[in-house]
Amino acid sequence: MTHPANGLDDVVHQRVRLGILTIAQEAVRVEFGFLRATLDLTAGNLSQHLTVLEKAGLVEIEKGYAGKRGRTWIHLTADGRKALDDEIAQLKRLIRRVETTAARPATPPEEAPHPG
Amino acid sequence: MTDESIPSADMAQQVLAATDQLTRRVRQAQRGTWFPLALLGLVVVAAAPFYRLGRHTVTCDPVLGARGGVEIIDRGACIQVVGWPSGVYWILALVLAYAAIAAFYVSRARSRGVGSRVLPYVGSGIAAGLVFGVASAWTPQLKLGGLSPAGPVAIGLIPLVAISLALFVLARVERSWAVLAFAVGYLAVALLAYGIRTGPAWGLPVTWGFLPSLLFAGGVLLLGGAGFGLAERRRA
Repeated sequence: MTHPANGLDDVVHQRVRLGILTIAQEAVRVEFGFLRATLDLTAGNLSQHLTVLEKAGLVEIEKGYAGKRGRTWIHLTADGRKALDDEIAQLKRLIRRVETTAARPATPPEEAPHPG
Repeated sequence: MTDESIPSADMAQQVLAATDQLTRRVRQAQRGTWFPLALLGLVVVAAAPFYRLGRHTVTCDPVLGARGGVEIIDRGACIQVVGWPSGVYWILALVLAYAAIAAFYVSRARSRGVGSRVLPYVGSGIAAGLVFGVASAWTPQLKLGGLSPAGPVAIGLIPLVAISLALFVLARVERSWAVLAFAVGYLAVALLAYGIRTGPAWGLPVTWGFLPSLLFAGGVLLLGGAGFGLAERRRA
């Protein structure tokens, strides 16, 4: 069986991108400004991460207006939802695996029962 | 391998904790429980004139009691209760109230930059209001006497039950244990509210006998709205 760490997706696993996907999953759609404030990022940095996620097909970006102000809304795609679910599942597996390993005795039992 | 895995597990735990924290922040930004509770509280209280409109004092023999239809005896007087004024009110009021609730959440999503899945709540609220409202107001005409609790008690009780059932959907939409607890409490209040009988101490005319229960049920919603509003303001 492969180690759970090998199942982590490099696109999704990055801290900011995982944050974007987590927020987008909770909301029907999320505005650029909310993501920037919540994740404490510059607009340029957030744009770069969104471009990576959009190219991977994990989010959709919709530009529009609210009155005269331009707004950018981000939706999670079905692939994005699956990728996030897989990532969380892999992280949980990883934790379980280490806990199981840590719970195992470090040395074998001292002596096998003597026959007869 | 184990030595390499331990920091990875720490990292995984930190990542999961961070995602949980983000999830909580988004949910807090999405919540607006105070508005539906306050609005529906006002809708319940505003139903009073329509209940009064459907109640008339009629001539009958208090000893023999009420007979047929929806005539009831209250403190020696017979009152004929007609369901349709309150039925029409509830249908229109609930549809308009849930439309306002949907508009509130859409406007909030625009201003806060985070959407929420409020449509299941709005849909279930309107559906429950329509189905139960029609069924309770026109029970005799629809020949539902054997299927649903009939008579004036049902006319008042069922809209409140419909509101409290939709609150369970709101608790799911907002993923809030506090809203779930309120929904359970309000269902109990809705069922108990119509146990309140108007005694002489209230000093109300018999045709206004429904008023204490209506004020009690609406007041609980208004208080709930105020409580959730204060809690939301404190978190902001």
